[in-house]
Amino acid sequence: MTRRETLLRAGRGFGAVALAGLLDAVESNPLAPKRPAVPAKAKSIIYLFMHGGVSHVDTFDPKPELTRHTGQPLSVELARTIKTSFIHDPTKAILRGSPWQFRPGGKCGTPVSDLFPNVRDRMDDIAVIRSCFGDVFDHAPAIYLRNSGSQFPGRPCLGSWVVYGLGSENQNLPAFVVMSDGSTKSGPPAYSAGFLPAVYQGTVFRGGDDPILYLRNPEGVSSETQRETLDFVGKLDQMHDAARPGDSTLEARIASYELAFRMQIAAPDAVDLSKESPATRKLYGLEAKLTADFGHKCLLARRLVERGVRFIQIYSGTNVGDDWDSAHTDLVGSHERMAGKTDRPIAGLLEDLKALGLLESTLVVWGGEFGRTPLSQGQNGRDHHPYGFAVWMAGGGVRGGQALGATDEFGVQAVDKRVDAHDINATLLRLVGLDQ
Amino acid sequence: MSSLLNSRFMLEQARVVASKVTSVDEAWRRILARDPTPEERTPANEFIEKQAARLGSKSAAFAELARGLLNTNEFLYVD
Repeated sequence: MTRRETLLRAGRGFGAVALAGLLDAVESNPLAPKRPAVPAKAKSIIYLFMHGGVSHVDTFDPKPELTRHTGQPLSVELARTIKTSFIHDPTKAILRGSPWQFRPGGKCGTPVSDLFPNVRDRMDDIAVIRSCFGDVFDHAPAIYLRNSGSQFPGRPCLGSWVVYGLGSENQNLPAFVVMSDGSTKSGPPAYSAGFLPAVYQGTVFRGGDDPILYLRNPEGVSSETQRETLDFVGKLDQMHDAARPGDSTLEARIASYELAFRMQIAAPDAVDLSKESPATRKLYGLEAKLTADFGHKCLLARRLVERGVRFIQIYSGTNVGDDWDSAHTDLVGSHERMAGKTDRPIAGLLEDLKALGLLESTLVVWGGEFGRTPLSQGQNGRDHHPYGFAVWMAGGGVRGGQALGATDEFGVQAVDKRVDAHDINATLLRLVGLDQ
Repeated sequence: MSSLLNSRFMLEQARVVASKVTSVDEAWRRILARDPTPEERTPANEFIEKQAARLGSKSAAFAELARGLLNTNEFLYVD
C-alpha cells in the first residue's frame, strides 16, 4: 500500500466513524464516492478561472490580419454583430493588433504570445479551443454562465455537479475547494450549489500560509471534548432539524461541522507546503514576489488533488486591485501584471502534475468569462468581448498539442467549431464520467 | 464554520455567558431564550458532568456547553 493509499483509506475509515453517529439522521453520506455513470478519463478537475476578461488576441489566438489592420475600423456589418460595454459605437472604433509577439510552443508549435512564455513551453500537453463564445458581455452574468450554464445566479455550478455526481475520495477535506485573490466580480453564486443540497457548494480557502483559519481546537479544548461537544450540538441540531423538514441548509451545517472536525486532523498536513522541496517551490514560482501567491494556490491544488479532492477552482484577479479587467484602460499594464503572476505557477503545475503521473487523471482547465475586443477602447484598452475567445485544457484525457476551432481573421466572432459554455461544461463533465 | 467553533472570540463569549449561569436551564434561557425540553435537559446534564470531570471544573463545563449552544442551528439561524 502506498503512502497515499494509506492516507486515503485511513482518512475514509476515520471519517466514516465520525459520520456514522451524526449523518444517520440526515441520510447516508452525500459525499460518499460514487461510480462514474460513464467511463471516466479524469478523477479531479483544477479549473483556473482568469476572471475579469483575458484578451484572446493577445494570448492564445494570434491574429496577423488584425495587426495589419491596426488603426482601421471593422466593416460595418461585422461591427454591428457585437455589443460593447464601454466602446460607444463599435462601427466607429479602430482595430488594434497585439503589442505582444506570438511564438510557436513545444513540438506541436501552437503559437502563444510572450505574455505566457512558460505555459508556451507546455503546449504539447495543451489543447486550445479558440472558438468559445457566450451571449453576455458583463462580468457577473458571464461568470455565472461559464460556471452554471445560466447567466442568472441560482443554478448549480460545475463543481457542485461534479461532487454531487461523484462524491469525494477524501472525507476529511472539502470535495470542492475554491481559492481566489479576494473579492470577485460575481461573488459566491459562482460556486454555489444552486438548487442542489447546500452540502455540494464550494468551500473557500484563503490565500497565504493559512488557507483555513481556526484549524486548531481552542485553547484548553482536547480532541475528546471537541468530539463530545460536536456530538452534543449534532444531537440538538437534529431535534431542531426534525421540526423543519426539507431545509437542506440546516443539514449542510450539520455536515459542515463534521467536516470542520475532520479537517482539523487532515487539513494541517494538506496545506503545509514546508515539506515541498526547494526545486518544487521554485517550479511554482514561490521564491519570487510576483508569482508567490498564485504559485502557492497552484501547489496547494496539486496537494489537494493528491489527497482525492474532486474539484478545485482558482480565481485569478479581483474586483478591487489586481485585475485582468484593468485592460479597459491599460491593456499592456494589466495583462503584463496578471500574466506575470500566473504564467510561471500554471506552467509549474502542469509540469509537476505530469512528473508525478497525476496529469493523466487530472483535468486542468484555463479560461475566463470572455475575451476582449480586437477593437481599441481609448488609447490603450480593450473592452469586454464574449463573441469569440479562447479556453484551454490539459491532462485528464485531453489530447495536447492541438488548437481547435477558430475566430474570424480579426478575432471578433467564433466561426469554426463554435462552442458555448454548455458545450465546454458537458465536455468537462463527460471527462470525469458524468453523462447529461 | 471553524471560526464559529474554534476562534478565540467565540471561546471568550462562551466563557462570559457561562460565568453567569449555574444550571442547564439558565444556559438555555441566556442563549436560546427558552427553557430546555426534557429531551434536551437530560443529555445536557450528562454533558456537564462528563466535561466537569474532563476539564476539572463545573465552570469550564458550562463554558463548553455554552460554546456548543452558540454553535447550534437554533442560535445561528433566524427561524
